[in-house]
Amino acid sequence: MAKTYDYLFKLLLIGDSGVGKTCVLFRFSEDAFNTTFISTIGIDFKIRTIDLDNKKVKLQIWDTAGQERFRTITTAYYRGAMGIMLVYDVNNERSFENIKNWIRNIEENASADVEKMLLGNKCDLADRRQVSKQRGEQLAVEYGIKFMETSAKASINVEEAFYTLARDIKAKTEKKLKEASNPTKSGGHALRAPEISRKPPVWLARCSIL
Amino acid sequence: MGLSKRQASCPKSKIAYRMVCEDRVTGLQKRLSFRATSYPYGGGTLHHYRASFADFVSNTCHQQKSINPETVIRRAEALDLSEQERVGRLVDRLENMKRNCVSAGNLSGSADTSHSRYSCALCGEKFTVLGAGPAICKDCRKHICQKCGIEATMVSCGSQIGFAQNSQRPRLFLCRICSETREMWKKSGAWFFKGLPKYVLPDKKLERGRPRRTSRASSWAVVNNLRSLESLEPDSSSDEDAGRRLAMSRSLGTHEASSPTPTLAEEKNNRSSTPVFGPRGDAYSRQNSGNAGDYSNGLRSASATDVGQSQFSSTASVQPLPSPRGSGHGMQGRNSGQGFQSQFMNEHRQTSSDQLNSNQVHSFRKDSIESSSSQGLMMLDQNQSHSLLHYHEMDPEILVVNNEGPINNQNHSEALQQIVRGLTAAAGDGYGTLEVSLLYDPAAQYLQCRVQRARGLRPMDIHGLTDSFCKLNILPIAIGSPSQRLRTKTVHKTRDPEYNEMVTFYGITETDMKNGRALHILVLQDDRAGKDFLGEAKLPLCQLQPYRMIHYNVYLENHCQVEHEEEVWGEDLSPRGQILVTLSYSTRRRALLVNILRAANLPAMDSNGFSDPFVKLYLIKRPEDNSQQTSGSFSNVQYNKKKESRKPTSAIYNTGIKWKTLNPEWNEEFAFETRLTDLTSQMLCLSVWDKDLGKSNDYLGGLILSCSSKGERLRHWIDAIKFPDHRHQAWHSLQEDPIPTE
Repeated sequence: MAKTYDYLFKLLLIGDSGVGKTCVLFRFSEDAFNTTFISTIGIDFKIRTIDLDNKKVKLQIWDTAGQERFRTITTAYYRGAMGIMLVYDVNNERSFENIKNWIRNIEENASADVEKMLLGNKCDLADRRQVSKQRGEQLAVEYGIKFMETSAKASINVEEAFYTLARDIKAKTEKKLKEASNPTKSGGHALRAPEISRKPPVWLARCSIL
Repeated sequence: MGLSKRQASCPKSKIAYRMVCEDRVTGLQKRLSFRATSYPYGGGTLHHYRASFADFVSNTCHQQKSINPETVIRRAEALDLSEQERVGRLVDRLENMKRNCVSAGNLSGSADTSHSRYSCALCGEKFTVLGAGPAICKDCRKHICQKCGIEATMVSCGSQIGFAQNSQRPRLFLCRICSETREMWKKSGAWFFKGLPKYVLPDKKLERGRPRRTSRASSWAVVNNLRSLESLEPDSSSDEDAGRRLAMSRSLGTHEASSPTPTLAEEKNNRSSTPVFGPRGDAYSRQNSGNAGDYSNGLRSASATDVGQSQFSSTASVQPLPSPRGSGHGMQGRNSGQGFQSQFMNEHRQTSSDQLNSNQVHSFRKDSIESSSSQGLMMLDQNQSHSLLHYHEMDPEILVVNNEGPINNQNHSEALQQIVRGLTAAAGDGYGTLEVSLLYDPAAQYLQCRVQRARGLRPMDIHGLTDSFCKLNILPIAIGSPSQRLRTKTVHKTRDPEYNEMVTFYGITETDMKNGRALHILVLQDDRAGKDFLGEAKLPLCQLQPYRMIHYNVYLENHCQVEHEEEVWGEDLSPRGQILVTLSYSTRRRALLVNILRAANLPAMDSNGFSDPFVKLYLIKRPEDNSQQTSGSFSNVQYNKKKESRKPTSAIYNTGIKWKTLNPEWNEEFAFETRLTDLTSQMLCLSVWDKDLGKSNDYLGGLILSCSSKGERLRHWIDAIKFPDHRHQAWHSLQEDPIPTE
């Protein structure tokens, strides 16, 4: 029997080419880092199972190519994603500005319920920084999503980021469940007063027989 | 390109780095090009070379193993499969719980709570006065005992918001089933996909080899009762995009399953040759290059064989032989060069789908060898397309098999893809067969045709059934002479109709018989919304001998165009004209895009000999029902519509008016916002009207596209659902019956 897990979350990494999506993923999945830059071809994914509140959560993390020419391939994977990591490079102003476009891309292609998160990668290179942490935070607040600065190279916040996203998704399952379960059963979706008030008479009646 | 040269040099290389993007190629080239050419093709060196290449790539690509998108997709598919199995296990577990609980019947139904008030709905324990009282499940409102209830706060459904206000209420219970349902809703990802994702039910040891009834109802399913039909299909789409899940209504499955008509379950036909019809007395040999002769399909049951299918006047012998190569999927039989006069029939009649056994595949071959060859000996190879759903009933098992052997995965899924493709392609030339007896009487100058039966006609409606009739005519006809065409009655709802009807052509002289005329028999689908073609048979009259009844059993073929088609066969083209429509579901816009391109041959309504046509279109919920509904019974539709909430699911659109034309071109596109999964339960109604100023518009014709349409209309609709984001264009005949209007 295969390794069992309780949840399978599909995550997606998007962002401009060269911001370090693959490296972030590589750090997370294999805890390693490689300086060579090889642009992803189309799409790839990695799997890691993590433990959240004693539940085994399998993360299938799709790593997309940032390059424009793969856009048609990568957008096809948006829809199935439950969580999306938007990655930019803190040393690259352009990649930060493009986050807006990526968000628009998500809105067009991804499911409305998707959980998003913003990552400013390469935060270890302090001297070359172009985008301040505040700006990142501000942008995240603007879109109502969480934000973290990470570094795949120095292994800063990578774990935390994925854990946070997974936890958010897991919390969302429960929220969704509440919404979904109520209309589920045709019989009763709200606790109705009559049902409650009817109970005592039944008991009374039985008591009187006794 | 050095790289490509290298590939050419070792074509069998397992390292499939075929798709390396250009920028990487240039990098690789520098180092590789000279080496590649310098290596000879020899085995040892090749191996060495391959290894070095692998080293090189893995070094450069820092363990990025999946350079090739194919491998990525394959990995994703494997993961998907295991996920589907996991979800399947969850589903199975829940269903087991449901089955085991006392008031199994009551759980789905709601009303009858009165008698269950005194006993636990799950374990049946009576609530005693002294014992702890019953609790009420928060979700299903059943009375349950303390043991079967789980305190809701303990169940981690405790999204704090929801329960904060409930926390005053001391005890909130969920019955085990409801809590399990919730768990499964979360764990399967159904919360996200708004419905249960595709799953594969686990294979029970006891029921091994028995396909699980895939159309099992999961009564808990929340929003849509639809389950993806694709879930039963192989993972054919390499694109594992979950959002593109193609959904077919569950009712498909159940209807089919409950259909009393025995359905033929042959394997898909890859026939490459077409049946031969030659001069009489000949023997026919038939070599099937592909896999025609020996059909190893997953049928294994005595009752599954139907000997009586051989309709020959001669004796037929039936020999079931287990195939030496019982392969995982019964697709590869090969039988080449069987002798003359042998005929293969593989009419495996499936009396019960449960008898399908795909794990232990046995193949049956039924050779009906016709010993006494009569004239007009026909090859009979019955292998028409399946009705839509039979494939699906078999697939889940295969999927399970796939997972066990991931290496085979590819082959299987390819084969399965073929099946699916064949399905959509209406299985090539599998039109089925027709049995006719002809008798010519030269004295009375008549030709008597006994149309006995057809077998294995193409399915035309969503249930895989057909309402067929035959049209007969002797061709070619002399121009100007009245056409003698005759027709049989319609036999409804079967793909194996028994017409058993005698029709007679009078005034056939002997010269008619000799001068190369032939009796053409068209088999058509009887549908008011357009006569779909089912097959045609041509029987040369010169073969007939006076006073001698000849029995034909022929393949139906594609339609043979003749001159003056309309005169010969009557107005097959709808008198109401045709309309060209493009359907495409846009997953991006989440809308069904309907493009009304143009119409042709519309009837003239105005005194000037033209009409002023425009099209009104809307998408509404298909009335619930009813296998009964023919596309003709619109009064019924209207009635139902009034009864049900008459909210059109979308707006009503009108195209522009094209003045004074019978062949208008609109080319206007309309978007109906809907979900892909809902399309199965919706119907698109198009009606063409003649705009009249000052008086009410005249109705020109209508068209309904939905899952209860038939023939081409059904196919068009299904295609649009199955392949979203593609444009599906088709001509449809307009029908005279009024379309339900708002």
